[in-house]
Amino acid sequence: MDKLLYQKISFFLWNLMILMWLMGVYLNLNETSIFLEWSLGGGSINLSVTLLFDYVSCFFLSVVLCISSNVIWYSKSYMHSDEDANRFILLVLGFVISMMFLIISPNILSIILGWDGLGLISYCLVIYYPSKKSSSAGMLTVLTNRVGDVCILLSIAWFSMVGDFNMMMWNLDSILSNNLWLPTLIMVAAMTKSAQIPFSAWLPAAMAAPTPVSALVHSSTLVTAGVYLLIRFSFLLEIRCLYTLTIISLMTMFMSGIVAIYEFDLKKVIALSTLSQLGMMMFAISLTLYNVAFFHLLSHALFKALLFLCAGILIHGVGGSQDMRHFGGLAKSYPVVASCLNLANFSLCGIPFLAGFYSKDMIVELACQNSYGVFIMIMMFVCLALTVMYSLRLVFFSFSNLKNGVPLQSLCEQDKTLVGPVVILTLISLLSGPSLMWLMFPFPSIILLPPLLKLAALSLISISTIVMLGLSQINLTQLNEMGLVSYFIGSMWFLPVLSGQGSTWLGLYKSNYVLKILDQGWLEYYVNLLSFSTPNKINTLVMNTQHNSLKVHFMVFLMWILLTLIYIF
Amino acid sequence: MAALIKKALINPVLRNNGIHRLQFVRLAAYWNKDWKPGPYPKTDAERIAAAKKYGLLPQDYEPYPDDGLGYGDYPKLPIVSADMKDSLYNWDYPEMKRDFGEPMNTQYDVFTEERLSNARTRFSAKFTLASFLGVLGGFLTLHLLCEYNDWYLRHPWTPPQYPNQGKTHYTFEPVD
Repeated sequence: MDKLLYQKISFFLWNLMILMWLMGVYLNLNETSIFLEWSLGGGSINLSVTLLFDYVSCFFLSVVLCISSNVIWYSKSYMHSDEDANRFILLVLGFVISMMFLIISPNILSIILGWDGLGLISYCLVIYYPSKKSSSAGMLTVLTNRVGDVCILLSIAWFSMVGDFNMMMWNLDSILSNNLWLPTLIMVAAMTKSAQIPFSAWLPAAMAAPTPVSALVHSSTLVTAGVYLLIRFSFLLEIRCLYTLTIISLMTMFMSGIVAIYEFDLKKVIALSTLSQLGMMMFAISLTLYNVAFFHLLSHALFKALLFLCAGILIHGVGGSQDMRHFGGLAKSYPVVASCLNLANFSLCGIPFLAGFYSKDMIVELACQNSYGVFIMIMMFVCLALTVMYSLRLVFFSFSNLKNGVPLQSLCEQDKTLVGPVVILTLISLLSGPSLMWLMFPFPSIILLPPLLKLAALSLISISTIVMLGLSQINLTQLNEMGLVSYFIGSMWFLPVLSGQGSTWLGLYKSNYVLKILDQGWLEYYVNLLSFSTPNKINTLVMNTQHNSLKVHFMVFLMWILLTLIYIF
Repeated sequence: MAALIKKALINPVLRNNGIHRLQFVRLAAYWNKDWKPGPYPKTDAERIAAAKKYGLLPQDYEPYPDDGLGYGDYPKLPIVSADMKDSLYNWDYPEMKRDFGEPMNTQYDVFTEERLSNARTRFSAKFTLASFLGVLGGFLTLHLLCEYNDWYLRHPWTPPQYPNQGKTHYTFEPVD
């Protein structure tokens, strides 16, 4: 294998990212879109492939390519000891191509090509390591995503009633004006991909994949495909769907926030943090804040990928353990990584003037302006507080808890291939917040709120920080003695059990009879045995005609004469 | 209604004193006579011989009941799913967690590593579903109580007190 393969691919993707970013800025400033259409045929048959380049697709493409480029560069060193590097790089490239195809498709048929590609390749990436944990995680991932694929297939059948598969050509007034099927199908598909309740079990389980895969796939690209689908199909969503989405997204945010406080696996904590932010994006969509949701999607993708890359270096440094209880005092050993991870965490919490502040604070303030019930407001602020709490918990366990520190740590920070992408992503993440804000919201919306609500988010962040610092000094082991509550929260509200054995046991139990009768029964006979014996008999018959026998030749000649006479007369 | 139809039409065709009369499907896979279980053991000597044949102690041997659906003398073994078996034991076939000559349950292939598990869990399946739905339902109830009611906005109030009670001060007609 070419020693510079990873660098070449990373460089190519980086250049493509710059091109897409410049194109996005141009299209945004000029408020234009570019349609590229190739048509085949004419008359009654017209096949066309359409690509859409507007500022949404160009900005999303640039973020995806930026993260992919840095992750591939990072993988050169991270996956160095892996024997099957070819398979890894091919899968990652296949994933990036599927994602690019999804982003630039205005056509539901080409969207499903990218959508299915994402699901299948993410399965192959999750089962990359040959272990039972990976294979069960992979099955959970692919089968949950498959539910979404089926929903999109059904929605294609509905879309065939509106005359064209391109979303720009649709006339929804006549047939689909009062129809709930289409928005429900699209919403369920987005919920499966973006791991909303009750499809949330696959995202923490998918952390069995290698860390670069988690950084690229499970933090910024695959999971945001659902949000992107809802942003593109926002015109379909009516008030009842949006209302349901509000409740589901808040539940997801709350569940993931509170489970992250009980979790000790570093990658699972970051996965639950991703789940929480996906809930925030869905919450923004349910408030019809599609542009703001897209802004949060982009800024979150960057700092979440950064968080995963930093976590990968820490995992490598302590010898492969992902348990936060084995970390401790790593700030002295890995100062650069610690700084970058802390910056990503601060962005996540919404500390002022970092990337997350612009998007999250805007969502919170615009939500406060809407006239929703007090429960939604309280839940939103509780979820903000939970975000700060689990982020600080992660920092406390990794960097400041000196009691559990591993005595022998490897010098990962001297490897520029590992630290380089981390530093670059940090800089891009810091700059992305204000730059995207100025580009996407050139005219700020007027937000009028009473002082309490205006300062609520910031004061909540401060109060949560103080509370967590106080709690870190107290022995909380007696919380585990609560039994059912801590078990319920720690096992993610029983969702993995309900999604796994809970939903499949009846089908598996009944299909046992189908297995015994068909698979190990008649199919064994007709496919296994007859597939050998029947061609064997035909072969014997054919061979009998090839003995150079005159009788056979004259028979064939006679048959030919007879057929010719029949044809003539 | 369904029960009546079942009793009147289906049972006489399909069941004869509890035994299936018609068999719509039959196994067509490879089969040989050595795999066929023996007849249901009726005497003690037959039970001991059957237990020895399947590698079990006589006190552990229990055949399936002879109700016509027949496993013959094949033992009724407890279902132990693959995840409940010790992964550190030196199995003869470690990928199946099975020793040579070990009698297998008739439904063993449903309880392999990647399929069903009958492991004893801390809480039953019904409890897990009920607790999940209960928590979600609780939050939904709280939301519905707050969204469609303004009980938290109501506070005690007195009617407005105007001077000269009974006199009309304003009629709020639009200005022409």
